[in-house]
Amino acid sequence: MSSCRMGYVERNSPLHGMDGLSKLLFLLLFLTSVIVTRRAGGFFLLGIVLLLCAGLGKVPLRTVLGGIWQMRFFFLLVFLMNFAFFDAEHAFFSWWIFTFSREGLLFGAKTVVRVLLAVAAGNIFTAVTTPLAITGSMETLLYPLQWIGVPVRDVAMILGVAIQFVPLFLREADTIKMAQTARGAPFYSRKFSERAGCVLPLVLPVFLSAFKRADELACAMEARGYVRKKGRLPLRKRHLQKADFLGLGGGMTLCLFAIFVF
Amino acid sequence: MRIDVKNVTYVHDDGTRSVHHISLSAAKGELVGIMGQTGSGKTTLIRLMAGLEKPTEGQICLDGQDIHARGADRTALRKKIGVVFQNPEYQLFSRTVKEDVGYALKQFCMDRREERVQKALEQMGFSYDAIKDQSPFALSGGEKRRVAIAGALVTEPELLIFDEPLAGLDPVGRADFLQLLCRLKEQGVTILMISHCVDAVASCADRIVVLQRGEKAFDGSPSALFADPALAEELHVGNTAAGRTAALLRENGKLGDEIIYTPAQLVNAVAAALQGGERR
Amino acid sequence: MGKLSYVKRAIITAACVALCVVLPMAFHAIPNAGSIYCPMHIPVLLCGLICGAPFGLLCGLLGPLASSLITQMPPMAYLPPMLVELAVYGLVAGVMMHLIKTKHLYADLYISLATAMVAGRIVAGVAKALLFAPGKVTLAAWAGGYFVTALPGILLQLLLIPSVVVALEKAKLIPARYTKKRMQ
Repeated sequence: MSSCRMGYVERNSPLHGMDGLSKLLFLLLFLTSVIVTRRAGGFFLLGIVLLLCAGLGKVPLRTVLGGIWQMRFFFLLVFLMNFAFFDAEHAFFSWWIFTFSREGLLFGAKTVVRVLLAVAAGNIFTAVTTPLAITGSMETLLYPLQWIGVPVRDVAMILGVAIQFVPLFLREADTIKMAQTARGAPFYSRKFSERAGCVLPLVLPVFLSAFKRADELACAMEARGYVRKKGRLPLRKRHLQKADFLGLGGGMTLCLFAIFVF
Repeated sequence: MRIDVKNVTYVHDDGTRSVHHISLSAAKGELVGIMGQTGSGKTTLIRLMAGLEKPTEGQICLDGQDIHARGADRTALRKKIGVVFQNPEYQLFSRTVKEDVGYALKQFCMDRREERVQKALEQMGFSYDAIKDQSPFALSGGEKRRVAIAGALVTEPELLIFDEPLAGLDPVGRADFLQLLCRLKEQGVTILMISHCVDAVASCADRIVVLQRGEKAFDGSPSALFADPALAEELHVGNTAAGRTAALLRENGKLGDEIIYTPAQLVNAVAAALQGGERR
Repeated sequence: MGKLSYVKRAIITAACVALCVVLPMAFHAIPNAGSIYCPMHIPVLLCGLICGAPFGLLCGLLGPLASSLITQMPPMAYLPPMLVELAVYGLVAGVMMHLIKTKHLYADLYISLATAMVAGRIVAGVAKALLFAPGKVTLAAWAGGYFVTALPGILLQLLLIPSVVVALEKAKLIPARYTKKRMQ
């Protein structure tokens, strides 16, 4: 649990050098393409795009495919839910509420492929973007919402503080878990009831410690005259570079190909 | 209980090494102070010694038995070790003080629970009847810390490990805690204590181990460490208040070259110097 | 809950968003505890109960998003239904705590929690159906199935969350909902 880098894999690569915002925009674009693409050729091209990104980011294949094995039952469930319940005109077998058809089989397979591509894309994004860059990009994406009355400055402040809290709380949770283990808490017991009993000794102290820190920070901010800010969120200082535009442009082209051409 | 750390190295998941080829021992009833700068590997070392992490290389032996050997009874070993991490007041979670202190007894299926809880709380200066049914969250910070320490003492451990137990304590609290350590030492409990407070460590430790960048830089008696002020500075340990006062007095020619690092030694040296002056 | 300043509510929300990232990682170390306890739900529900509906909604949106982007828990594919579910949790928990005043803390908490959890899980089940398997039968199957499989988590959270709230009140980290003075 001491993985404070949280999925980020430190490397010197073109993808690591790109701005967090361009990577987040590309991820959103890729996910949209995954949802919209209909044909096998399109999925194949999106797979190639993913492999290219993994290569450019020097992300190991194990990281790209991380978590997919754990989701195998979910994939099976999704496939079966579609295969057995799809409303098709020409089913090859039908019984009670179950309808097995070729369309259901294809739809189920496509849904599984979509989830696979989405998971892999998320893994690559996390591996090449630091948590700080991710939250900075999220703040920038929130910018247009202030035109419809969303208090974006406050949301940006909350997000910024949250991300600063994460390594602090991780260390605290780690220490608490060690302390309770030293007192005999059976976190790794084979009996589920014993493991379930360990949750309170872990969760309660973590929350108390977190709320204490939040209380101290809030008091410090109020003491230093923090007031709820009105007005626009200032525009980000760092701008996209040529590499960011090239990457985004190239990625966008490939995704459009996947949707419309293949 | 004797603890032996034999050539232990620990490498984290990300490849960083926080402890590198460290060997040290603590005999039964010995109090060893562990000092070093932030990031020198002290907390990792005590986690290894408490059996909460497995070393990448090397062995940790309690009374000659490797705690990570195949077939080692980890539960039996945990019963004999009490660990108090930094800010132990953040580790409380039960409805009442009695329940929280008795948690380890329940987990380790130990008997005479009420008796042991009472003993642990009274060791920490509480009146058992007054505190047992109180909510631990409603106590003051100092009281919470004492309750948390009682939670570690309740199993009557043979080895106690403390990580920065004095941080945030007022002077009276510190003095009380150091007195507790001396009492436990007399009872034969082996104590390992990480602390930045050089005065506290110098006053009660039988030996001091100093870590630097994950390696052992010094292992010896307090007098061996403080006899060489340059060494103490180099190890970022500094000098005790009594040692600094003695150094000032030496500069003014009022004291000799005797090694001084505790208030009692300073008082004796000053009294001897004054007596010597009167005789002249 | 009683009077908490805007800044305190904002920073508590930030702490809860951070816990949405941290708790799943902490639970990951306990075999199967994560899938039963649904650890990300706990800070969102707490945020809604303590800070109110707007902050609860915000925590429900930012928490899983930040966690997914930073730690890949939940994976991107799960994110949309989870965002919907947790947003509803935070919103409904806050609304219910504002509306329900039985003068008993536990009663208020249980009613608000149960309502938020039922609403959130049904909405999430519908979102999952629309995302993964659109169709009339699958809508009922996903919503019903998800609700039934989530029952152990609901029961465990109903036991856990009130304990956390009471502990926070006792530690004076949040104002007491009912004091002798307020109840008169």
